[in-house]
Amino acid sequence: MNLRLASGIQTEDIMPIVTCKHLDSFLDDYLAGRLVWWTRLQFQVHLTLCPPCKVYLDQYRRTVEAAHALSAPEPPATPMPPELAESITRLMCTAEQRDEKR
Amino acid sequence: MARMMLRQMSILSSDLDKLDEREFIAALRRKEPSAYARLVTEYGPRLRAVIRRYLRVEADADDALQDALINAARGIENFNQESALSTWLHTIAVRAALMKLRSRGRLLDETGIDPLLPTYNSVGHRVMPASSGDQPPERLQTRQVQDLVREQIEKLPEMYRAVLIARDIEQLSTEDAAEALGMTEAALKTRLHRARAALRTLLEPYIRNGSI
Repeated sequence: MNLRLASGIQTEDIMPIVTCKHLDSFLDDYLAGRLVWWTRLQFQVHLTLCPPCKVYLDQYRRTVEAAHALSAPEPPATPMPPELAESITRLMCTAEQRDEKR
Repeated sequence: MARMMLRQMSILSSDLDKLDEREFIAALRRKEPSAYARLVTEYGPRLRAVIRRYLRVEADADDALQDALINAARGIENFNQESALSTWLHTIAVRAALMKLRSRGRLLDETGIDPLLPTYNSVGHRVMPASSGDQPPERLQTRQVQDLVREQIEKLPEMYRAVLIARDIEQLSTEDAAEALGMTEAALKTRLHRARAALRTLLEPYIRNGSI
């Protein structure tokens, strides 16, 4: 059960991060800097005590950075078969005619 | 008949090529068939490449391309020209690809990701797989790293690949991606987390040997 407390903090936020599985559920919010201070502290304490999670976090962070690095260039154009171009153009014209009749 | 009409359109299209983007948009708004032909031949191949990032099946990609171009022609009145036409068309193509995935029910296919997700013991502690003898370190150029990451993304199940591309590569907001895919923002965040975790598993040998 996750209750919202008067301060806006949810009970989930103040539960200690005991297991690695629990830590993983906060990973994206941790990397995005969205954790409340108490949860961030819990997260960091877990990392200090758990070398496998430290390695995992580093690899996860590098994975996200590697995906972000692909964001810049457009993919190279994929040639269109002439018949596909022809059929789409025809459909665009007929769709237009249908729209006008409505 | 249609072929002849298109040939005439392509002659007209070569004249239209000389017009700048603003005039081209005006021609599209006047619903000129030659402008439609130009839209297809000039922008179609690039939009097709964008769509193929999401849809592996060629027929699905071509359906989505058709939807994108028809939607663009219909929606050109609403294009405010604050961005380049190509940027606007790119967004329409991404949306058409995501809608296609959604309509085919592919989003329900969540199988295939489990072997790539982290494993825990009975009390929730991480089980790290034993090293299977890491490959010797290999220094890769930026381009080679990008090709390697793209290759591994291709191995993800379609839905997870789509979510990861939409959020981490195309940089769509959580709200926009969730809306196009017909899921809640919370569901999209969960899928993005799983997609990233699975990609980490696929990239792990390369991260460990220092290639990435």
